[in-house]
Amino acid sequence: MAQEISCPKLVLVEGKDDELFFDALRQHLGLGDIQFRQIGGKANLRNALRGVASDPGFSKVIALGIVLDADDNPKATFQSVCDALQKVGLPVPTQPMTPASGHPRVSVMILPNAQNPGSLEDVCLKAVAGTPVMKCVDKFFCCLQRQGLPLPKSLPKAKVLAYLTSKPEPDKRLGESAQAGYWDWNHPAFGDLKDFLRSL
Amino acid sequence: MYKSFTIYHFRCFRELKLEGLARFNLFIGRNNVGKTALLEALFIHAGAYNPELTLRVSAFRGIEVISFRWSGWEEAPWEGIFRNFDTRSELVLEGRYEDGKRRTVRIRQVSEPSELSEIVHSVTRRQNGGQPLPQDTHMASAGQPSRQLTVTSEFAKVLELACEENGKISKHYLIVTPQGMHMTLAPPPTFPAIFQSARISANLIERAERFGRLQIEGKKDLLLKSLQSIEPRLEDVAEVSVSGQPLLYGSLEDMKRMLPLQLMGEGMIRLTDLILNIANAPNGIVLVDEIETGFHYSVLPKVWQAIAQVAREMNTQIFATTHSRECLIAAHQAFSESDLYDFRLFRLEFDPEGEIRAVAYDRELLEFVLEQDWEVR
Repeated sequence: MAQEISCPKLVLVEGKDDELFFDALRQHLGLGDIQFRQIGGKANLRNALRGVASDPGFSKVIALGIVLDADDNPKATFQSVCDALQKVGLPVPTQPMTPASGHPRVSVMILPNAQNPGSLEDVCLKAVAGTPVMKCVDKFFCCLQRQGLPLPKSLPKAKVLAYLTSKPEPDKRLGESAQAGYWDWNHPAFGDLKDFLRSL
Repeated sequence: MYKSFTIYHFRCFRELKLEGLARFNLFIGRNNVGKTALLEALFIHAGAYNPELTLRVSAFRGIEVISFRWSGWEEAPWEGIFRNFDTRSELVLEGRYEDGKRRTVRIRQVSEPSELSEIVHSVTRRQNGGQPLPQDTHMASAGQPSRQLTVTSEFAKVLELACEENGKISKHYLIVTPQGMHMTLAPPPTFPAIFQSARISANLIERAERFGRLQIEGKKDLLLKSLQSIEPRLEDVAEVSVSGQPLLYGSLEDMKRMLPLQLMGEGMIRLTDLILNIANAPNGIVLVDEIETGFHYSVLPKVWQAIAQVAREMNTQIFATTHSRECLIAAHQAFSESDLYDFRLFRLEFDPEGEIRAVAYDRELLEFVLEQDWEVR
């Protein structure tokens, strides 16, 4: 069955991990009217917005959220979202986390935040920073470095995966781990994410 | 070839604009959103000068017999083509072609008494050399023999079709009187249009005639190769007269005798009609309602490939409807694999105000939403 828009609030996220992660947070918050859709990467944003705006269920959407990783440049990422929204004819917000009114209302969240480079993994690492497991993880990567071994392309992603290997089921990726309840949603690091979902 | 088409006040449409039409146009959408009505509008527009087409489109919906019980106050048989049966407003169909030329067809029910009288008497005099109208039995109402009455405008209902093209306007009339239905002589349309209904197959004679024309022009292979794409064992197709009825037979490589195409499955006869219709509408249009009917999903890409090949060769434009996701995926796949992606998908849907609009999907957008498995219908 092809995916239909089934909720009045729709959030576009980059990939499957993000979809599962945010859906776990949604369940934790008891929000029943939000649906997440992965777009297969940041590069697909414009097509994804066109696809959503052309969707048979689009007229039912009252709020559209877009969550992207800042990667190297949070400002450029936000600007690229605004450009894509404008091209498709959707409301354009003036800054992240501030909804643009219209039909639908549009909100953008850049991760880990609007000021810093990074990704969802950085938010998660902040939530577990200083824990005994993370001390071991950090030592592991320091050890790699000391041995002169090449480090992974994305150290935060690698650290999250290493952190998750300490869990009872050690083969879960980020999204699955959120579904399994491995993250403490009450940690302040997740505050912006919760505010974003609640504000839709 | 149509590049854009606009409908005003026809059946369920208040105003529908279609821009960026391609050689192959597939329409999707929920039930009762106007897909068949759109094909009907195109059929009437392509007919250009023929007001009788406003009745013929009802036959495509299975309303074969126009029954008309006469009384001065009965609704006219064409009223269903007007939005909400409101005959006070004019119905307009506008087409723009790839050469930039336009044709506008305006259809209205004449109601002003003096105009009505003038048209009726002008037409009846022209048709009968000044004599009263003869009975027109083929359209007279069943169970109520036509009466010999002097035709007066108060007993007549008149439909006017005005076709504006290249700066010229020509008007044609369909008139219902107590004696029956009459029409001014309409010239043939400037390009052919064939409607393939989801419910009604071509009759045997029509099918045989279309096959015959294909043979005369040495293009039988267009049909044979198309059918072979879904039935590789087929070796030949021929017309055979059985009990006075012309039937198309096919020979299969492992059978000693030929078989009627009907016995080779619904898909074979459906594809036969599709190909014959396309091949018999050179430089014209073919309108196909529920194009997926009769085909197993696995052959749909081959069906589209066959349609594409014949339509390009005959310079025919295709307008089709479907409810099937498999069918639209097959179309996208077939055209993506061909040299030219001359295909466009449109979804008809109700806007928040309850009016019907069209949402177009170009190649890039369709590719994306299908890859993501997002619903488009």
